[in-house]
Amino acid sequence: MLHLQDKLDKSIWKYFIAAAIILLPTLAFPISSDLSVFMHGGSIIANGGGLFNDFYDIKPPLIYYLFAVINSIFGDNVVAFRLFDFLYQMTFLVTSAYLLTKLKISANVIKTFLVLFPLSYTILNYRDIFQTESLAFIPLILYFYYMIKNENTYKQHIIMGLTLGVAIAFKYTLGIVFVGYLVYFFRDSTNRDYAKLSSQLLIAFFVLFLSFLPVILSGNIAGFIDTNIYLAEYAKYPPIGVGLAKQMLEILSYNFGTMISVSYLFLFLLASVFLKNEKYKVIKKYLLLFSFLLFISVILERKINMYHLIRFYPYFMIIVSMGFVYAIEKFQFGKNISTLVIVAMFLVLSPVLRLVNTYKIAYDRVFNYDSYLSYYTNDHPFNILGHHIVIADYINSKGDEKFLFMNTGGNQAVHYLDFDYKYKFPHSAFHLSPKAPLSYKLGFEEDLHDANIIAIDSSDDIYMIFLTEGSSYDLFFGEEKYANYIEENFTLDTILLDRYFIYERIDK
Amino acid sequence: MMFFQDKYDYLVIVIGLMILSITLFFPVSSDMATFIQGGMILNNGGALYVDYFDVKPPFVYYFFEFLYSMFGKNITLYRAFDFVYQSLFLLSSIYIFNRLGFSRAAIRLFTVLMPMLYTTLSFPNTFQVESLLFLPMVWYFYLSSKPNSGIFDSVIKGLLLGIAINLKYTFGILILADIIYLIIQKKNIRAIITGSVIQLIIALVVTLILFSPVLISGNFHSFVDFFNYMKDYSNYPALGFSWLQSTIKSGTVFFTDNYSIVLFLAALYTVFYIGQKDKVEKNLVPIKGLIVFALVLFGSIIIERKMLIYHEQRLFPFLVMLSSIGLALLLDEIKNYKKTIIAMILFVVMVFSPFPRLINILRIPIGVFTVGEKEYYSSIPEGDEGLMLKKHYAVADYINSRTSTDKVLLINTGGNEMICFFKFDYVYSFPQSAFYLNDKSPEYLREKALENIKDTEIIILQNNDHSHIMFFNYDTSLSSIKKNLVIWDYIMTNFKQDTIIEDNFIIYSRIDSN
Repeated sequence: MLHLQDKLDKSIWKYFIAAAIILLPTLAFPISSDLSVFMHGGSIIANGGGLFNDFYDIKPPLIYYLFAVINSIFGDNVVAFRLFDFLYQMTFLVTSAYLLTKLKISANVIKTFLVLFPLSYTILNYRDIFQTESLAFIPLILYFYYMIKNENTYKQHIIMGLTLGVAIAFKYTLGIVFVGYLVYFFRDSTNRDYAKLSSQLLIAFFVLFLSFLPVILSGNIAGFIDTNIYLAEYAKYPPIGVGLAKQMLEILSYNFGTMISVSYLFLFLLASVFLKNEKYKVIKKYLLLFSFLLFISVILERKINMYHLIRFYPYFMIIVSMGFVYAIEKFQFGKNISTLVIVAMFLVLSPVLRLVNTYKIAYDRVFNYDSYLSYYTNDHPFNILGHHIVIADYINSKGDEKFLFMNTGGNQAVHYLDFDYKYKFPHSAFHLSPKAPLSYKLGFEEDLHDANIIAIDSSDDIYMIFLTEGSSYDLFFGEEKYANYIEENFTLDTILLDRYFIYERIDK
Repeated sequence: MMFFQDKYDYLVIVIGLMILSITLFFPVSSDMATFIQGGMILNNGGALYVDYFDVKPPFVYYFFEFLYSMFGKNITLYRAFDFVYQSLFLLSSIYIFNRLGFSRAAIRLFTVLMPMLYTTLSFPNTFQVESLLFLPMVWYFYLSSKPNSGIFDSVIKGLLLGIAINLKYTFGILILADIIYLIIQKKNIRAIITGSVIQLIIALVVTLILFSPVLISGNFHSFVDFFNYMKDYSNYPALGFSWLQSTIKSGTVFFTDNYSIVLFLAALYTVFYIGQKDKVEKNLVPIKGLIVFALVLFGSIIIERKMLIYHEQRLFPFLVMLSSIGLALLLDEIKNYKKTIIAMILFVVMVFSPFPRLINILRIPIGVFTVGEKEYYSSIPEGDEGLMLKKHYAVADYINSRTSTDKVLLINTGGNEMICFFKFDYVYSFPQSAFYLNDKSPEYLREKALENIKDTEIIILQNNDHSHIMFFNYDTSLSSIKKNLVIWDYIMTNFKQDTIIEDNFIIYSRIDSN
């Protein structure tokens, strides 16, 4: 800590506190659909289950092992998981501030970064944070730092390999930053040592291999291969064409213009084009390149949700911060029309108003829970937190732990149960889709035969995941075998919220 | 170098006009149909606020009466008129911005971007009163920018202001922009006051002249009654936190999506550029004028409380010029970059510019050429920008082929495009059924509606025209009319249901006519 104090600007601690205050409302966010899936996986593994045998999802293994560790310490507790993310993001900010200081980035830029970054992160709300992309922030910033530092030592390349490997283990496509390094290697590196470059790549692959080791050792590699077959089908959607281009442009415009915000983009523009600082020349060039490459990786994935885009935040936000400092230095604030427009832009077309709203959510979480619940339960897709609580309350009242939940798009209900949920699939689409592998169907049938209570969602039609039309209910009862099994062994207990069909085993 | 001193300047104008020519292939929009209906009724001897009711100032309908007398129901001719009008505006703008000393690069960009942005608004949002404002407004701005202006200039400005007010009352806010701009130019306060008073007097005279048909026909009290009723519409949506939230949200979407992120950032950069320390350039004052006019007009949208795309386009003449200036500065900055970097920048710029929309809008002329107007317009998906043109065509085809009467009454809200497809002239009074069907409608409008119904032989009633902004609830024409027992009883007694077209238009015919 003393060492840190020597390196960092003396007043930087105030900005760490400010960052923590800005990040604080994230603790109040509820379980999102993706977080629910990660927690489900973590819970199964922490309770002795095997990945791709007792739990199936399409992300690489690392995220589930991380969640298993958190689960084994804190249990299936959303606040604990949110607290972990809060601490992770604070660690990222401290690390970044330290590394940027070492790269001789001005203290004002770093201080700005410590405010603008958490601001942009917190206002993303519950669904777009604490994703594999945001968990890769620390390896991504470390990778960049060691590239720019360019000591041309094995230590440098081992660390770069480690960080690259971790990033890839969180999300395969983050490996695109290696292309950025190759550009640096061939254009700006004074010592081109191919052996060290190869060692970096080898280490990265080794780390990736390590993240798969538990799967390999437990003999579940076949499950992993089946998952990838399904993933390949999932990756084909949406199909390439004019419709996709239109949809992507629309979503990108919204995500950039509204979520990232006009004012951040403006600052990015200022720093990218007009900031002429020799000291920052190389750093700025590669921050831009890395941001661009990661943006391209999102386009290639064809899934452009906001949480996909945040992968370039560590680099992008440094440029935005440089732009802010440049703007303050260059602009003559006064009682004039330019000041009015620029200040209005920073107030209205920035994340500031959203932060106020986010604080209101956090306030409601503590003092007005009904309002909080209604905020997360509305007509928007996936925003059905209240439904999940109703289902969980109903199942808890039954007192039977053999509960199987069949829905797609978010299984938050399983985390409000009084017991640990034990079944394999976070999305029913994985086994109900016509593209589902046989092993998935067999795995599901095991669960079905074991369960005493089943809840089936009749309104979760999500083509992107099912890869066909229809809800869980439609597809489940569309299979004669399942329909007959239910008819013979279960009885319809009730229908919750006109949507969730609850069946109870006749002979328990 | 000034504009028009290089042969490429003419090429740029040709490109701009070519882009604008895409609008020639646009179909009728719901608002345009409303204007045409007004013009049609007036041209056939009807009186405003007696035989036809709508929210815009009378001048709009007299103007369309004139157009109807020339073009009838030929939509292509209306679009051609708009093309000529917008071309005149474009050439005027080039002339004016050239006179005001803006850089040639910026004017060139404006010459291409302005038609591009206008065209990509697509057919529901073009040929609106906002776009008719462009031409008088840009000349008004020019007169405001003149360093030495006299009484004659104030008279002309008053004339232009009068026209603006009679296109839409809130456009009168231009005088506020003028006053602020003159103050920024450090003009004599007394001269500003004198000039403004002259403007207001002339604008009032223009308004009186343009209202004269209503005044002379003795229908002014009808206008006042209808105007008072329309206040309910201007009070919607109610002011409050959710209004503020939705205003910011829809404003952001307009600027970053419809207008495009790149051009909006370029406009903001222009504002930043003139506000930089030690920035002393001679051309800063007209730029400040552009900013003032854009801001004041934006204020008028806020006052109207309706952040609709076609409302927001009133900013275009000034906002697009601000973007053009900013873009010219940016291009100047990056022109020496390496080609690969420029290619990367261009890729990002293209993605976030109106260019993809322009490519997309090309489907309209291509569709018209390849499959024909009616076929193509009918294929535009419902709920998309086409609203329900296919259904309007289907109803019009049914009416034209099955009936011989011209006593056909359409009861719907949100778009009466089919009246342009009828083979006869439409004669009834309301472009929006909500005017007489919503809970706040005055008795005299309900009586007028009943009068229309008693006269007609055929009724077309829509069952899915939900419009909270018009009905103030989630009703449709069908559900609303059922609540109005006098009208509904009359229909049930005197009409029988013939058919339902495209699931949404119920056709009734008079019983005693069979």
